[in-house]
Amino acid sequence: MRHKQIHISLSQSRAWSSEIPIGNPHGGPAYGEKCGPAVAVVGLAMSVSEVAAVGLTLASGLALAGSALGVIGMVTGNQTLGMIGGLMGMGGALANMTGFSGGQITDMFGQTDVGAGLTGDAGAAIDTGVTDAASNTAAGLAGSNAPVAAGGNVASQASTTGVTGIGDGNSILGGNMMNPNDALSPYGSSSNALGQASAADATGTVSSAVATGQQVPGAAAVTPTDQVGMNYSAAGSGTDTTGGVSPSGTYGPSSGTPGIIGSNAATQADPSLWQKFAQWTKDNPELTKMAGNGISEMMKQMFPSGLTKAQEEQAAAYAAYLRQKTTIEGQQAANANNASQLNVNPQVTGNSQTVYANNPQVTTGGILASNRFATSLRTA
Amino acid sequence: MDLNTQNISSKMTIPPQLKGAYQRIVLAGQKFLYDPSTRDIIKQQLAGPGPIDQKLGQGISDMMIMLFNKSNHTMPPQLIIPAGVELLIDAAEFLNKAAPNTVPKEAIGSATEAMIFTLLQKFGIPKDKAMQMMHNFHQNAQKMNAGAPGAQTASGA
Repeated sequence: MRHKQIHISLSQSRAWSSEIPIGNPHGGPAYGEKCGPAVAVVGLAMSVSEVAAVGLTLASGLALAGSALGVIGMVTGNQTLGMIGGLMGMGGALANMTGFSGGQITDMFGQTDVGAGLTGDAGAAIDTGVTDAASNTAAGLAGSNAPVAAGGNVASQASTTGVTGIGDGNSILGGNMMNPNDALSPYGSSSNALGQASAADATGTVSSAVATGQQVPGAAAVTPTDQVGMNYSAAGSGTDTTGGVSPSGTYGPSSGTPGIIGSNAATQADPSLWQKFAQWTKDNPELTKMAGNGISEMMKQMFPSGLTKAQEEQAAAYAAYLRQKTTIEGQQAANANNASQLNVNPQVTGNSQTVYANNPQVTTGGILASNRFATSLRTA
Repeated sequence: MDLNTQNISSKMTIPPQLKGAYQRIVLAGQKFLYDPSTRDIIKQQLAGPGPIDQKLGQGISDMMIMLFNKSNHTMPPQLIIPAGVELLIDAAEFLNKAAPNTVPKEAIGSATEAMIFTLLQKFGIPKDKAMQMMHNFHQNAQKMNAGAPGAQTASGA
């Protein structure tokens, strides 16, 4: 008899286990066990309004990189980059002018409905952390975002970031909404963020609810006892134009990539990479712990407190060392590959001196070929 | 001009108050790219199917999002693209040193383009909107440069 495997999502698994305990009657979520299916989910809690606000500031980075992009476009022959360089190249000089803030750069982008870019694939306003239910605490990288994601009330998420005045009808740019000096928000958003969103705008539906502090109708009921910091409000449908909120108000099924709960486009990386990463963390728990702790510690130190000069130099030296080491290993591997796949021009047969005679593929090389080989090794 | 990190870095116009953060982001990215315990992930990503420019651009954009998340969103968003560009050039340079012509010049350009528009798309700005914003920016910058009053609010008002 062929065994049929049934894969159920974490939300389905939990729903079933709460009503019909399967397996160990003395185990499961009620007993504090977190043995749900492994899922690879990416991102932090970010509302649609936050995503749009961050997106504008992110785009202002084009002004800082404008000249460099122009150079890359010129050298590689990439017309798009050349055009970006031409359009944004002036931004760098402007950004360096005294008192020229990031907010002013975003102002200069003009009136653009950035939030509309989230329509259709923005999914829920909130996303969840990278979590493997079985090993999230040890992983370092995985799961450390989870506590931030707890809670499914969109309005409360927005309020924690200090975004105010959303939906008041002002410009979408809302002035200096990326002022880093604003203490209320990690993004410094003290003024209007998504005021321009119209009622017909799918993202506006969510943002207007945020403005009034209401919970989005039908938003997922997230249990406060959720121990892994997951949130189930994410419907994440690629065609959902209602802001991705599950209309049933229950755990929103994800219609996206299997294993992904939520599809906040702004914070979701390539699922295949994260699935690989989740698998890798399982296969290499010790390395994962080291890498996770290393990067977590590094990031913890980097923002916002920063490193001392000595620490920065140490980190730079370490990065340079790793890079050099990896380069050498890569070169060795490439050279080994070259040696075994060397093709010699069969027309060069006049010279009978065969070099690398022990290599069956190099039988007619002679001095010329060996010189070529040596040259290729030097330039590799 | 050669496409290497030094040349590209020198072309970045990072404001002085953000230079420290910028260097730290690049360092964090390099650590992720070259740390022995994580580089296997990168190798797997690059060994997957698809053209190298798409894989490289997508991979770097994913990494930048991960770093942004790891910083609890405290990383200045305006530095994500510049740092991503430098890290992409760094990675391409490294790959080409390991095995010549792994990432041809043309692929570096298209990988950079892919990375930028992937990042913008993930943050809610599709390509056509981004191009429109850049045109607006250019017009406003020209007006500012010419000293026209009220240039900043010309299109936003």
